[in-house]
Amino acid sequence: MTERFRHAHLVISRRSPSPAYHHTLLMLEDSWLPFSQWNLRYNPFGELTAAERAQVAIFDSAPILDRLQDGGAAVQFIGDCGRGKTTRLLAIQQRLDSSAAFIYLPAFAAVTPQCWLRLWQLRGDLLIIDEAQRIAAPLRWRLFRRGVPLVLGTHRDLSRPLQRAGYRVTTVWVGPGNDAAHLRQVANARLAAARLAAGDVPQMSLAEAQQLVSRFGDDLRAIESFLYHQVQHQAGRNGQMRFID
Amino acid sequence: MGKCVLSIELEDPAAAYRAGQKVRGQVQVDADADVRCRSLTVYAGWRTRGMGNVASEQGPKVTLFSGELTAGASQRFSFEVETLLWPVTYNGFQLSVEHFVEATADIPWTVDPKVSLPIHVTPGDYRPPDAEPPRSPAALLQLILFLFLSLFLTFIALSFFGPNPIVMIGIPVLLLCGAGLLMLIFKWLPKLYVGQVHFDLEPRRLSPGELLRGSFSLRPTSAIEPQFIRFRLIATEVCVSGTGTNQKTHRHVLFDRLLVLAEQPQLPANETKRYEILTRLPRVAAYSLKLTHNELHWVAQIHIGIPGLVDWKDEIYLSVVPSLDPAMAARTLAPGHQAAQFALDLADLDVADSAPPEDAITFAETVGHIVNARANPEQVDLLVDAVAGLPLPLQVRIGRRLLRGGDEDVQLAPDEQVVWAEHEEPLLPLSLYIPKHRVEDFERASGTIWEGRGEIVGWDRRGGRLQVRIEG
Repeated sequence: MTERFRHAHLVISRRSPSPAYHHTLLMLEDSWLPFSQWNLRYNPFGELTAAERAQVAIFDSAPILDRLQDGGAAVQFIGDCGRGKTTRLLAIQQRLDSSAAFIYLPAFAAVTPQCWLRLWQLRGDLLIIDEAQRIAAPLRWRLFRRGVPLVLGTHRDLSRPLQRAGYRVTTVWVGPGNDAAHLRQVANARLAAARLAAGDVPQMSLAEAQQLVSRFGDDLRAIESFLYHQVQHQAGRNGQMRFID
Repeated sequence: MGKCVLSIELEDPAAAYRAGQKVRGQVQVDADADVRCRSLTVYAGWRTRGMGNVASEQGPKVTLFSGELTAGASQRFSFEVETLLWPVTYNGFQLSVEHFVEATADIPWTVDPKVSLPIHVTPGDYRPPDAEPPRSPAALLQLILFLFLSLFLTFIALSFFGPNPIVMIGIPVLLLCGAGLLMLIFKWLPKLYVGQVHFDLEPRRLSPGELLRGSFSLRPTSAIEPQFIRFRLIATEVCVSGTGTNQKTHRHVLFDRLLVLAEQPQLPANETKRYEILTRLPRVAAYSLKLTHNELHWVAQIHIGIPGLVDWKDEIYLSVVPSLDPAMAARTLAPGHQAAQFALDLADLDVADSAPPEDAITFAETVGHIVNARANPEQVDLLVDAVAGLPLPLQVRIGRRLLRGGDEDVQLAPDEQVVWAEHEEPLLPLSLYIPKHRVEDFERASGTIWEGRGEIVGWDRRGGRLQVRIEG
């Protein structure tokens, strides 16, 4: 232990300082955390668990939840891969506490008996189905006839079968809203979630977000992957964090 | 609704814990309303960070408290939890392993508050299992796939041409011929070209900074002249993100050291040609890992460039594990994300060197330290050991070739010769180990300044010479 750390340790023992003080210690000297110089615990743009994704989601779920209060309501999120459908579904699930049932349908779910069974056994006050375009047609008809409120993530518009089953359908197109302002919020939420200690963390500016949107369009997954590499290349370095070249 | 805020204070926040060691500290609970806490638990664990889906493990939960928390009161609970044994803290490029201590309170009718603090965990006495090569599709699976494809194509053909016996026999035969042709191009012809081969490395379970020795020999059945014979030591992070159709595999080469064993060698028929391999693992804390969706592989590969054919390759998976030697373990290892700077390309010695990283030691600095410590042989051995295996740019005055000698030199490989040289400022005699095919170049360069890359391999106490291997 260096003299500097030994001194800090003695201070802690005598005065019991705030947790923030302890965190600050992690940022001193040669921390083993490669992003501690920016007050970050890890690279913010890596993969997250489902719960973490829901927590950092930039999405106002209140209007959707209001619509789902009424019986016979279905909300479908339509968009290409990487635009934020699953994140929205996870955020809705988290905000509904425990009453919602969530299922992700893998490739070939329409021809996999195991998936049919899992889908058929799905029970909850509200069903959240990701990749809903993979529900086999006969099962889809039976599932929709239950009348349980539905939240669907899909690549294909399912409003016609939903309406035929009596649902009032709300369609949300995911992707067109992924503009620079939204991207900036998403990136800054991730940066805040990776905060190591009380204090500032790097922030993405609107101009930087605009450049990324010009380059990658509305593909948030591609932008996050780019940002991961961009940040990772700066591991252990000092200076201002750069989000673009 | 009442809230409570948790915080963790460790006894020694700056400590690095050995795997399995106890972490002591206190959890502080600040409630802003009267709340009932079913349980306040604390545990140690690890999780991956990076581009792969998250893999994690939690240790046993220790319950610190259950009962009523009073508004405005601040309570502290001491805890002691054991860090998990494996994997240890790792900071790579697209994969990191983070150890943490986490506390959570189970409060009815609200989101459970949670706090997590990262901790640094270094290897302990645990011996991780040997690394296994990734499983290739089993032969049975390949056979099933082949039969399925045959049946499918036969069915399609029958629907067009009707129940024609030529179609029913022809499709499987055609498929068999196709599979055979692929095998011939990618496997049998390269194998036929190189003849009998033997690739061996020892040890296959080793630690950062340790020497890796081995040999590669081949005995072609006809005279051949391959484009090159190369040895590569590669560390690769392999992470899988997403699921189903969104699943993506990310590979990142963390470390790649290339040793050219021979350039356009002329190998006569029915004669065994043997190449010695000697290199050192970089002193980098990047151990072999096999976690769910997140892996780190160390592979030693032989690559023979075959003109006009598909190249021949063979590889051996290595298990890179923490050292059990306390002296080796005590030495600081570089973090995984810096591994690339230990693996400069040694292929072309004539290429001008790029500037070394600011924090990397230079050859001249090393020589300076050795000159200062020359009176103390143990000190010199320590210094040499610390930099051995690092490819460094160097600038030396070439001397004469040593015609005899080297028989007693354990560092000298059979296909190398010794050329004396001098580092001028500070002055230090050197023994350069030169691949035989480059010896003439060095003889011609005698008396001149030569620039290139070399790897310090030892210290000749009797002759007072630094031994440097020039790869070629």
